[in-house]
Amino acid sequence: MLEIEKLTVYFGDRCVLDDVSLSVARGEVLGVVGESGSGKTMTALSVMGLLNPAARIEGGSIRLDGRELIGLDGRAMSGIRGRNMAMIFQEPMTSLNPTMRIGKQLGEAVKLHYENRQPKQEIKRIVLDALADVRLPEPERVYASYPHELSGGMRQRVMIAMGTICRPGYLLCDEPTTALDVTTQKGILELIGTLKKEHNMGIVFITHDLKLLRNFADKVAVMCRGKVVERGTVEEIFAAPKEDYTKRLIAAIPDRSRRLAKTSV
Amino acid sequence: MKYIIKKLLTLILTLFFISVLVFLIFQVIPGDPALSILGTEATDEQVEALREQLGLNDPMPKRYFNWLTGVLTGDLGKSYRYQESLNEQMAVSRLIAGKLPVTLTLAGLSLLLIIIFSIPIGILWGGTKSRALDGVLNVLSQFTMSVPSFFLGIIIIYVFGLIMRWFTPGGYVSYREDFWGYIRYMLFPAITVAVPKVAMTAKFLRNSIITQLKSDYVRTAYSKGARRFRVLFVHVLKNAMIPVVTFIGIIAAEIAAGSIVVEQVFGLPGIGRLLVSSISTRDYPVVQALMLYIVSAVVIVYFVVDILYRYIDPRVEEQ
Repeated sequence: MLEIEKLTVYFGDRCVLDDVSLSVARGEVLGVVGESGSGKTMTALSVMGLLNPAARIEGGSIRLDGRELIGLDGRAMSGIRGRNMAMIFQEPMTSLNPTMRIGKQLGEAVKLHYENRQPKQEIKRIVLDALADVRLPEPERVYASYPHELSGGMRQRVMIAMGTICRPGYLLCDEPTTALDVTTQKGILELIGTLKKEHNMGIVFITHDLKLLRNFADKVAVMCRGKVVERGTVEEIFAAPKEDYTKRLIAAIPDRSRRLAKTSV
Repeated sequence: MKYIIKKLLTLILTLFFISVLVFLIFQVIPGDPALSILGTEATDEQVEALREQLGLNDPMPKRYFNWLTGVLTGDLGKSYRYQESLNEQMAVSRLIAGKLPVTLTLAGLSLLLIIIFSIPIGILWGGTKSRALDGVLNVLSQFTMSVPSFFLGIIIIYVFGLIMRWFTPGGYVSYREDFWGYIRYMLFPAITVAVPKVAMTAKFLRNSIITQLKSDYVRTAYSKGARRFRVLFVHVLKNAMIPVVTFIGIIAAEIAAGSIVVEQVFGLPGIGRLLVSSISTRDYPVVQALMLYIVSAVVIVYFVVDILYRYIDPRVEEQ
């Protein structure tokens, strides 16, 4: 289980996360939805220990399979990041190092988490497997490419390969499809679903787009201004939104897909 | 390879235009070379004979062609002022050949010092989390950047020459006589040139590193478990160096053109001093040759920067 309990974070004297509690089990997808600035990304970054130094965690607890993460030192956290949990970001265009070949960037993730030095051939094999795992055609070619030689969708697949290469128990996805066109979006979403099943990962899927979570998330938390205002299954949220804010989020979905959402419930 | 050939062709074309421009400028400048060689007491017949001999009566394209062939074969004409012997004007190429190695040594040594010192300082400065260290380096760089080079030269002569006695001020020795003595002497003017540039380059690298540290790929590197040291050296440094290479290129072009002030302060027989004296005596063939050197040096340095870029930034090829 990845459990966030009563997490409170301040940015200066502004409270950006207020008493946030969320949890996700392995093999489960938790959708976190809300408008920008609602604290979704901040929550994920708190879990990863990647908050801006100006932000302070004032209270609460984050437990990864029972181990408390808040208060761990840098060395311990970097041992967990990438190995026990990983994160995928919104912008596939800028999230990869532009001057390093894809193969090397993925290989680094492997090297960082294996205690014994792996022979180069072995690392390359693991990386090529990971590239094939995210259904990238011609893994050998992608391996030798620089990020600018790949499309947005391919880069996001590379990011997913990098996140899952050490088989973490949990994957935090921060709007991984927002920057992509609709067709590519669908492919990425399916891929995350498939990898979840294959590797029994717990997924936290952050989005501002409620309809993406239909047929995908097991449960949903709605965030607004740093608080979780509503939670439930996707069906519950769509059928009977309790909060006005949630109703507005549903109203923001274009008519056609809303009708579809209703009929599918 | 295609990129290099493309850049090389651009370089050759640019050098061609420069040669046309440098040639034309000296056609437009008033004054008769024949008259200025012979002096005002010469008779019209003498002047006319010399004009014919120098090829000054030929049509302009022919003169350009003759001049360019001369330049390419190392014949830059003869100085109006410097004499080889009583009746023989000194060849410009000989005049410059004696001075150019000094300027190039100064530029090379300075550039070496700039690279050796500014990069580690810039990395330390950009990578540190200590506000105290950042503050100290800031004050230090502001100070060194604001000291004028003639004053810095005087201080260096005073401290290292007169107090420490590491070199003899004014005791320049030619590289032909004593190579290591020459290098040892040249080191001090090179330090004078390098100090303010080290401060500038280090500050530039620091800013570049700080900008890069905020980028998304840095967050990605942390999220896969890399630690700060690794992020800085494996990920950030190469990206941060891209603008710094251009910056060092601009500095290299500047110092390749010669530092007149530093040459003067340290009594170096470089092209900076030759340029000043030949301008004030209107020794046009010398000025023309020096102009050609300076402009070509700048263009060639930028060519090298373009080639280096190609090796640092893989995105360059398609642009």
